[in-house]
Amino acid sequence: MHRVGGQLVRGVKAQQKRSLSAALPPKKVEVFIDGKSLLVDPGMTILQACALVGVDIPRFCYHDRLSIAGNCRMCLVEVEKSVKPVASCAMPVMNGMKVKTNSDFVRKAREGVMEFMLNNHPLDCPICDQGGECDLQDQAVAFGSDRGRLQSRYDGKRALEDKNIGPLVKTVMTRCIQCTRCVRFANEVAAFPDFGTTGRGQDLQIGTYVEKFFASELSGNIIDICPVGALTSKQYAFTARPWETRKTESVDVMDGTGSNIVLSHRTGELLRVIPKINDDINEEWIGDQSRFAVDGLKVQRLLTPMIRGPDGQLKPASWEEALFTVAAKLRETPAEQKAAVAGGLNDVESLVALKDLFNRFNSENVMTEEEFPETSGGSDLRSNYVFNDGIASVESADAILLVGTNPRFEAPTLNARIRKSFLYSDVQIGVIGAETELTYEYDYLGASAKAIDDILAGKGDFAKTLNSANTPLIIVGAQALKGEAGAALLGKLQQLADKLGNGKQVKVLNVLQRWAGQAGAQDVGYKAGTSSIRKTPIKFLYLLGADEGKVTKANLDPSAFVVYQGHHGDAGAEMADVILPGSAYTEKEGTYVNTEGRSQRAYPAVSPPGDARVDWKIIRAVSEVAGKALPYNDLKEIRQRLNEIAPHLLRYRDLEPSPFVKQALQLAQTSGSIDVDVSPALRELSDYYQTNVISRNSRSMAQAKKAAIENKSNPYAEEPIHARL
Amino acid sequence: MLGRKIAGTCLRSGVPSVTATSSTPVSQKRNSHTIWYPDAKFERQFKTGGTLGKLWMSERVSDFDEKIGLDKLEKLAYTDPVMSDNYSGKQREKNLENMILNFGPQHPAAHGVLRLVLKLEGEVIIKAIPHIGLLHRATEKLIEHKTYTQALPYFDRLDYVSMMCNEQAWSLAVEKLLGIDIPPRAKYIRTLMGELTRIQNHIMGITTHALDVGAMTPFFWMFEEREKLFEFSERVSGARMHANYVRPGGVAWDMPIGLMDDIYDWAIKFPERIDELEDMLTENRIWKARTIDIGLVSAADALNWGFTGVMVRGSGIKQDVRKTQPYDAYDQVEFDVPIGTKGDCYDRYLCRIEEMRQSLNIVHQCLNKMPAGEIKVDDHKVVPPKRAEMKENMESLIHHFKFFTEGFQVPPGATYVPIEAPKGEFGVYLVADGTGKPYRCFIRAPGFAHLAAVHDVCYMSLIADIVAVIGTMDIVFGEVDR
Repeated sequence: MHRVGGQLVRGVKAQQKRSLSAALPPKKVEVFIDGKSLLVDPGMTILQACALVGVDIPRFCYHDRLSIAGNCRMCLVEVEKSVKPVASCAMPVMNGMKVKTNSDFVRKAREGVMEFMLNNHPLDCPICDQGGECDLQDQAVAFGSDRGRLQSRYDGKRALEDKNIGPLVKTVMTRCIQCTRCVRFANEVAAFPDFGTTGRGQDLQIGTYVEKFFASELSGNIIDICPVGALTSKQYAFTARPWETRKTESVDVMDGTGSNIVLSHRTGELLRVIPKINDDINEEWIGDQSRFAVDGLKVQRLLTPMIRGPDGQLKPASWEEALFTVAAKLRETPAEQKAAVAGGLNDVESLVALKDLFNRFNSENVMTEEEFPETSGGSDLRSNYVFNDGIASVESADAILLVGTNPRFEAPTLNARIRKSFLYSDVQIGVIGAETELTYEYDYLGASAKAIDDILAGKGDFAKTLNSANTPLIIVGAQALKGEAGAALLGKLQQLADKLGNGKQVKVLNVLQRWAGQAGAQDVGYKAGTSSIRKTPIKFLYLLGADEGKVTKANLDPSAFVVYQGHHGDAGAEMADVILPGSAYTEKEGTYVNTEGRSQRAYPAVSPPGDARVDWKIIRAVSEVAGKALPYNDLKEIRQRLNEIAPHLLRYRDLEPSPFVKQALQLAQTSGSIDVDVSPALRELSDYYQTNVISRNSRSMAQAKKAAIENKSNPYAEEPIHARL
Repeated sequence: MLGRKIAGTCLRSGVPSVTATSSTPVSQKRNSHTIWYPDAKFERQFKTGGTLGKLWMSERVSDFDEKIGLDKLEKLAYTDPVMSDNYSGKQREKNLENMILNFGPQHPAAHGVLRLVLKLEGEVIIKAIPHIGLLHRATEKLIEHKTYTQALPYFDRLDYVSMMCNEQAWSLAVEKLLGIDIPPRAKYIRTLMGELTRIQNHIMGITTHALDVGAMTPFFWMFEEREKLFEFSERVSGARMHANYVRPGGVAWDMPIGLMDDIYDWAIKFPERIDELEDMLTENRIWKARTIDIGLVSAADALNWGFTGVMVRGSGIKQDVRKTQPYDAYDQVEFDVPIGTKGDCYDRYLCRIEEMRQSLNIVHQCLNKMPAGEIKVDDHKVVPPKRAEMKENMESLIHHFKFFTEGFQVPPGATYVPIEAPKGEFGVYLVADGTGKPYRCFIRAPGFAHLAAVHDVCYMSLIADIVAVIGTMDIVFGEVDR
């Protein structure tokens, strides 16, 4: 079994990096690509140098974000004075090297490689899901011969048994061309070392050796990197061909990072989600929840307005009835007895509309389900609740402290970056919280936040590491910042961040939000946390996609009237007296602010099902019926309103810096005990799959969760990467 | 008998009096010849411009009427001119407008959906404005979003009477951009099918022309033959009309066994059919009356207006793309190009008849010289592999899959390729940008240029002649509107 061991790779790369950084800026070397002179950094491969001048070398095994394998041989080029063709992906450039990428010699070499590649490839194109977006097809047409010499009737083809690697990824191993991209991805990015190769040459096989679930939150990405149809999506199997689908570029809401995604849809039906490259956020990966949970958008949807009748049953109603019922209650309830609670998946437009609506009725009682301290500056200073340094800063960090978060399951793509940083630099990572299976080695500093006191005092090895770091980073999970202790913890962390970041380029303190709508809600002035509801009896409660059960009927006045606006029949709809069917993130154009505070625009791929409507428009309709019409009639106008509140909300893609770190420190509440357990809620893989109302309704996520639970009793499961004790 | 009485009063001089007697044959009892036509007396009542109009008096004048002077009033009314009610002493000027006549788009002689707006001076056309666009399907734009293979069937539907010739133009244009030369057998098959298409088109053109001017028989006789030609098309391509047979890189399939024999059998009999057609028309005095000196086009005009095909050859100019820029196997067959002398409808009719004979000549040559071998280029990057190979071989399967989904890439470039379609020069201007789909495709349809000159050709001719001119132009709206 061949593996790319994490530690092995790490050591080598880290050394390389050190030696390189110690030296002077490298001298450029001159190479000639098809006669064109080019100055490139030494250590660059021929293939990368070719890419600089726009020459695209065909490749199967080479992948920008994975280590170099050099085993497919498709990237052969001619190098002057070299007798044999050279694999350009693995050959570093040398001074004066003359490369020919399109000579007869090269073409013949590619044609030969392609013929071998196709010899054992099954005649599956018509029944293969990759057909139409298959690298093998594309390159066979572009670089291969138009006919083969194989007499398959006499010579036969290799065939392999398909492997069961779980409910998400379908394998057809006969189609595999052994590029080992998936093996390298599993080892390097997903840290799932069970994926490897057995056998040699013709007999080489990819697999887990014993049947095993691909236990990774990033497993879906092997579908994208597989250049052929060996690894395909089980969910998308036999659904559509790429030329039939329309693509909408959008933003994911399954976690706080706001990964960029592409929604494929056809005739008003959402078919699949694939990642879109964004080097600032998700590189080219997305978590399995982002990719597969979309089947949850087709079940348990709220399709029509509903009103709870005198018999206690919810009955379908017309929009008119529902709106008038809500408006009447809204008007007659006194301002101090009204409240609105927003869930974590909302776009900023609907949040603003809801807040404006409540403001019109003299109520400021709008809040989010997710909690955040109100002291220490709370939501008033943006630097308190966003990921100040940006996700990409993880790569340049030399010490990372994770407090009360499990980024592996709270933000899989961020975690992939930490893993990348771990593999290719000598970053030191410390964890306060649960001792969970992360994809990198870390120093475990205990479950209690008290450990921060020790670090502040400079006690312990990790404190020294952190103090001596040039670019230290603290990532704190938003979940840890709740209640009194959370406020104290935030204050302590601000102190620590100030100490560590003094005179350095980084802001050090970074909050990892769990919800896609949270940073946006706090940006537009929502109170974080629902504690105020319990203080005064609430008679009118407006739930905007609030499904986490933070507020129940028991917290309200017995005669309370509850309106639920959202897309799924879940906890919120269950307690509602009136249901207003809203739309999910794939069905509306909206603005989302990710944990960095980066505003991004999502576009609708399909229209809301049934009688459901776009959320901010529902609120606008309620306002009109209630007699206080909100002053915006279309998206442009509500975006202008966004601009009035916070102009950065419309500066899409840009990361708006939050400069008031010093002031936040002055406001910080540094007293109080922080001796609390900050173990994150998501500790193992089975926790990851169903974290929000969409994934809770997703069949494939349920299957994946089941597989993850069963996998725990698999006797052949790999020993996890444990904490360095 | 009422009829007799009217006949007696209204008989025109010079026409033998036919009075109904007991011996009158039944066939003459219809009194169709005794229909009363308006006479001078009748017309006179309307010569005055009064709004009051004619006073209608009872013919029987009673004593009482006479006593009160009604008979005098009646006499006055008949003899004195009646002025209009608001007559102010001066003659009014009246705007008289020429009649505007809508010819089509449902007119059976309008050849499809032509709407011709005619301005008439009596029965004379002083303006003929063709209104087109009723069959516009945006073919050229659609082609920009189709692969080179998928664009081909649109060409069947352009001039839908000469399908395979249109296909030829497209295929030749694509082949020129690809820089490929097709095998000789494919060239001969294309030439053979192209000429059969030409005959088929001329059958349609001549006989419907004759039908429009009143000769119905040739239509029925010759459509029998056209049906046989469709059968050949069906046997070679699977489709009677929209063949999708001539493809970039050659032809779709080889001809089935026995087809050439049957074409031969048909081709030796067809001259007789042409003779029959000529018997019906060439010396027919009505046909000659309706076509000779009708739709005259001078040689200079024909060139200036961009006429091609028979429309320019009928005026005495020997212009034929098959001779000037031979494509496919036309440089390897012998044929003559008939031209007219006068440029009227009759000359063009004669040209078409002769062209059919020449086409038969080419058909015979193709049958005799048909080479053996491949029917499309042997490069599966641009033509699909055989299905049998596809089921055996991975390379073939991939190329087949990609060919029919993404199509093949054509190197960047632009070309204009004309062919001699039965109606004239049919050309394809094609711009490729290196992708699987054309960047731009413009189709030069001969009928468009011909129809554009319909006013000039028909100016000051009788309304009946417009029918003859449209017929002789051989307008087909599939290609005019595109």
